[in-house]
Amino acid sequence: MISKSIRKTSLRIAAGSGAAVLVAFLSYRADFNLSSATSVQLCLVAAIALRWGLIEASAVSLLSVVCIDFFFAKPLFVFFVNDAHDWIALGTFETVAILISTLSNQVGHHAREAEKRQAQLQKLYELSERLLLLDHGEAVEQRLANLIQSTLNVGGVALWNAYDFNLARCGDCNLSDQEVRAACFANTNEDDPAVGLSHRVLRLGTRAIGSLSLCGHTLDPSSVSAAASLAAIAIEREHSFSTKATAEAAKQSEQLRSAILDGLAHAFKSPLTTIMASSSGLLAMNTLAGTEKKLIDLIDRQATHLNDLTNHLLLTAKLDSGGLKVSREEVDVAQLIQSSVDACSYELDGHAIDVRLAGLQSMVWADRKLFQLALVQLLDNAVKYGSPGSPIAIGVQQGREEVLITVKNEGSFIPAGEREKVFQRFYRSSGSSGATSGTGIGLSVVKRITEAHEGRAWVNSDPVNGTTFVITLPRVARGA
Amino acid sequence: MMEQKSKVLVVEDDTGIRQSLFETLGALGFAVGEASNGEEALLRLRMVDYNAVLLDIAMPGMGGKEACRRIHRSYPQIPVVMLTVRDGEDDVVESLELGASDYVTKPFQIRELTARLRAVIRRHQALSAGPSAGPVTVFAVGDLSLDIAHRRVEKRGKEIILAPKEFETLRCLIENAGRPVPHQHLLKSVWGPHYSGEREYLRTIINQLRKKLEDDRTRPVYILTESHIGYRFRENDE
Repeated sequence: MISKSIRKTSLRIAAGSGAAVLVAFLSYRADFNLSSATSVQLCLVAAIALRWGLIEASAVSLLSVVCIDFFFAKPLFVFFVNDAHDWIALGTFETVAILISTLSNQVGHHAREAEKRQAQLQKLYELSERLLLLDHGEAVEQRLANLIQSTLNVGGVALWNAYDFNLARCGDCNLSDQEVRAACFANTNEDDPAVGLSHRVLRLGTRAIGSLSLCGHTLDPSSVSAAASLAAIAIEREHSFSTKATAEAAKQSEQLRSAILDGLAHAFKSPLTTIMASSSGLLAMNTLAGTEKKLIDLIDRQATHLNDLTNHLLLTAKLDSGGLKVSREEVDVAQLIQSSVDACSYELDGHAIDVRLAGLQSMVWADRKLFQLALVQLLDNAVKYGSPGSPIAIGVQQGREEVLITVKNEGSFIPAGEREKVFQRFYRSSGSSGATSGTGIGLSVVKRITEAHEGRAWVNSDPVNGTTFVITLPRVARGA
Repeated sequence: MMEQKSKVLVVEDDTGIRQSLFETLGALGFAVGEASNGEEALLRLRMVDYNAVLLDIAMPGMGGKEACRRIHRSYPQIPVVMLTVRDGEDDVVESLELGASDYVTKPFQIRELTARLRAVIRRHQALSAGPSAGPVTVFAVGDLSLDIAHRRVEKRGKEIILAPKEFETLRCLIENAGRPVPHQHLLKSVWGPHYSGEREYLRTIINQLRKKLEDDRTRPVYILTESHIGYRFRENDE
C-alpha cells in the first residue's frame, strides 16, 4: 500500500516536472522576461499544490527554479546566476511556491476531512432513523447488529445486551464472547485504528447496559461512540417496552383475579343469606330443644364463619383493585383488642389470652371494622399454629408516632426465608400446609389492611420462643 | 286483646331468601307479603296497607333504588329498609338519600333484621300518631336533653355549650334519630351544597361533639358510626 502511494507520488512529480520544463521552454520561445516566466511557473506550482499536495508541489517548485535559472537568469543556458537580484527573485519564488503549497495542502486536507465527516454523519443519521423504525419483539440485539453493519458499512459487529445476557454477531468479527463482554465489565472504550477495531461500553447515563464491538471499520472514534449511544438507546427502549408490557399483563391478570374473587364472593352471599336467615330464624323462634337446637346452632355458626371467609375474599379483591375505602376514626386499641378477643371466644380452642397493655391509653386513627378484622385474623392464626393449650399473648407498645400491637403464640416456627412470603396471598408455609386447615388468605389481609392504614406488618420467629406477629398503626392521622 | 301484627312486604328476587324471610318473619310475629321485583311491589302496596317494606337493592326490572324512590314518593308513611350485599357502597347512601329509612347487609341474623324493622315501624307510627302541632323541638335521650328551638343542650341537667356548626350537625342527626345519615347529607345540610366531599370537616365536628356529649368518646353511645355510610343518633329507647 505504501509503495503504491510512493509510486503514485513519483509519477505525479515526474508529470509535474515535465509540465514545468515545458512551460519554461514555451515561455522562453514566447520571449517572456524573468518576472513573467516566474509568474507562469508560480501558477503551475499552485495548481499542482491544490490538485496533488505538498510533496509534489515542492518537488516541482525546485525544478521550476532550475528552469527559470536556465532559461531566464543571466548568463542564459547555464545553471549559474550572476546577479544577486536574480538570486532574490528565485529565492522568493521558491518560498512563495512552498507557502502556497502548504496552505493549499491544508485546505485540501480539511475539505477531505469535512467530506468524510459528513458522510459518517449521514450514516449515523440513517442509523438513528432505522433504529426508530425497529419493531418491538424478540432478539433486538441481532436486529440491531445487522442494522449497524449494513448502515455503517463495517466489516463485522458484535453486540452484548446486559439486560438479558444475549450476544449477537454479524459479518466478519473474530472476537470471543468474553472479549465482547469485557468492555462492559471493564467499563472502558478502546480503539485500534491499525486493524479497524473498536470496543464501546453501551451506557445509559452512568449505567452500563451492554457492549458493542466494531471490526474492520474506518470510522473515527467519535462516530463509533455515537453509534454506541444510539444502540444503547435502542436497547433501553426495547427493555422499557418489555418491562411495561409485563407490568401491564400482571396488572390485567390481577384485575381479572380480583373480578373473579368479587363475583364468586357475591355469588355466595345469596345462598348464605337464605341459610343464615333460616338458621337464625329457627333459633329466634325458640321452639327447638336438645339435639335439634344444637345442630341449628352449629349450622348458624358455620354459616357465619363461611360469611367471614367470603368477606375476606371480597376484601382482598377490593384491596387488590384499590377499591377499598378506609373510613378512619379515633379508636381505642385496648377496647378493640377486647372486642376482637370476644369475637374469637368460640374459636379459642382452649388457648388462654394474655393481654398486656401499655400504661397509657393507646389511640390510633383506624377503620374500626378493618382493624378488628386484622386482629381477629392474627388471633385465629395464633390459635391454629400455637401448640395445644398454650397461652396467646397480645401486647401493645407505644412509639412516638405509631402503636405496635404484637400477637405471640408458642410452639410454631417460621424459617427466615418464609417470613416475607407468609404475607403473600395463597402462600402456606412448608410446615403448615397439610398440617393445619387454612386458605392462605388471612395474613395477606392483615398486611393489606395494615398498609391501607400506612402501618407495617412483620413476623419474628424462633424455635424456642415461638412466633410473634407485629402490626403498627399511626397514632396520628397522616391524611384520610 | 290480641296485638295486631305488623305487615311487612318483602321485595326480593332470590326465591330462597324470599321464602326464608316469609317463613321466619311470619313465625316471629309479622304478617308477610312477597314481591319478586319493584313493579310487583308497587302493585301490592296499592292493595295492602303495609307497615314496612323490606327492599332488595339489586333486582331485575326497575331495581331497588328506583322502587325505593317511587314508594317513598307515593307512600311516605311507609318506612323502607334496604337489603344489600355491599355495605358501605354508594347505592346504600343513594337509597338513604332517596328516602329509605335504614339498611341491612346480607347475610344477616334474623334478630338484627327484626330489630331494625320494629324500630322503623315504631318510629314512623310515632311520627304519624304524634301531635300535628309541628316537629318535636325537645328531645331527651339517656342523660341528654336537647331543646332545638332554644338551641340548648344539657347533660345530666348541666348545660353544654356547642359551637354553631356543632349544633347544626347535632340537630340534623337528631331530626333523623335512629336512622343512618350519610356523610354527604350532613355536609350539605350543615355546610352547604358545595361541601359534600369535605369529610374531614365532619370528622372534626363529630369528634368535638363526642368529647362534649359522650362519657367516653372512644365508646360512643349517642353518636354512632355507620361504617362507610355516615352517622346515626341513638334512638330514645335503643
